[in-house]
Amino acid sequence: MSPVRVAAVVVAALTVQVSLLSRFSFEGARPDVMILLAVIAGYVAGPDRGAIVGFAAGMSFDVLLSTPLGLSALVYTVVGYGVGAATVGMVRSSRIAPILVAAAGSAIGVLAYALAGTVLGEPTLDGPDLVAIVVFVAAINAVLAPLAVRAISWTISSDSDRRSPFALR
Amino acid sequence: MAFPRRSSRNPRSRATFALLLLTAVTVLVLDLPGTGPLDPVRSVFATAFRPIRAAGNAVFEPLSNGWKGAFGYDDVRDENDQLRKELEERKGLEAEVERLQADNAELRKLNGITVEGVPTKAAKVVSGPLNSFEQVVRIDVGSSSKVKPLMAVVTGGGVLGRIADTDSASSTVELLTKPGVKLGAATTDGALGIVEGQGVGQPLLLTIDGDEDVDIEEGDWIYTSGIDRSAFPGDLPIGRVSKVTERADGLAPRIEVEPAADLSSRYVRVVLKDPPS
Repeated sequence: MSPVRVAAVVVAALTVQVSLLSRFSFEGARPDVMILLAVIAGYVAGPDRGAIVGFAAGMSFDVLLSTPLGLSALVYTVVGYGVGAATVGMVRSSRIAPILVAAAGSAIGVLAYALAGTVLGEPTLDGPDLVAIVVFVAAINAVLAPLAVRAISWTISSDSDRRSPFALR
Repeated sequence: MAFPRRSSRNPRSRATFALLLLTAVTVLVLDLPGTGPLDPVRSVFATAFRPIRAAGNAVFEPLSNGWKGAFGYDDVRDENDQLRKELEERKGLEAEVERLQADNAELRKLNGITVEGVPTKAAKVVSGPLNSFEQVVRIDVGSSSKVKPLMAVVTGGGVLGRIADTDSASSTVELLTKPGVKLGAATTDGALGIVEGQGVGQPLLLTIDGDEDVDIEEGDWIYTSGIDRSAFPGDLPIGRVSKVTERADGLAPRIEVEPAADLSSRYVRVVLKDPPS
């Protein structure tokens, strides 16, 4: 896994999230493409790489959010690792599988974020209806899943993986 | 596409996971409210990302506007109807307002009160909440424009919220509706209390101080008290009472207030009144 490519994907996703997706709101719910990166990284590349990408995506998002620094990183790391561990035996040739995994993983991630935020005293359960957020984020991420699979596959398909001393193995 | 995957039972995989978790928890603890040693780091990264974000905004703005045009047409039409109705009502109120302003100026003269103009700084809302759980907006003025945390932010309608934090060129504004945001408030009769946010889409909750027997009705205006130890000057409209629920057990009534400010305003003003130290 190339750190440079991971960074490029994370920055691109963050730009899309902040400049485009965060403007779209349905019943107060907004898309969250950063959690999709963690979910798909876990699914495509396994638990440890899922955790790494989840951490990178979460921490970079945290820098811009007003919520405590590290909250997204913590949740996305767990989500990336969890999805990777849960899908170890899954058939990877299916076209539907990543879409279903993206929807389910995102839904669980959003719930985990809301709960973790509440534990830390953030008003994450006092905002828009949690069911609306879960459904909306899961639906949008299911649609974007094929794109995310391509992006994550690109980060781990580099030939330089085998040569670079900085490769994330 | 198949790639080599390491099992979660692999010790190295678990070690990576544990290390990342530990790092996230450490950062989280360091950033707990009231400590904030990581604020400068956060500010540096946010500043570094600003040009990328600005480029992204320029590229994606038309798409966003297209979405709003496609899916927000009914809302815009309803809002337009509502604005026309309000305009008609306001026309009728203009004369009354002028009379009251004249009375007010006369009374202030009589009382020897000098009204000091509190300077304000115009700002543009550059982004709303970035995910579903944020209850803040970001504006394009910061500490270089003498904006400080806890200062009031208002729209043409009334109080929008307060400054939560700033960097040199931008600030984060906590919306009035965010739980935990409290303002000193006053009724038109002069009774004092506290207004508190209860979450997005929820009315504000007004608690009247002490055991004052207050005659308050739906539609009454609520203003900032100006005497609370805050950066909010007095007499800024907060909202109108939307519901008064009497409670049988002798407790004060539950008073709900609908915010007067449009929480989706694109242009705001920061009231440059220093917060109490």
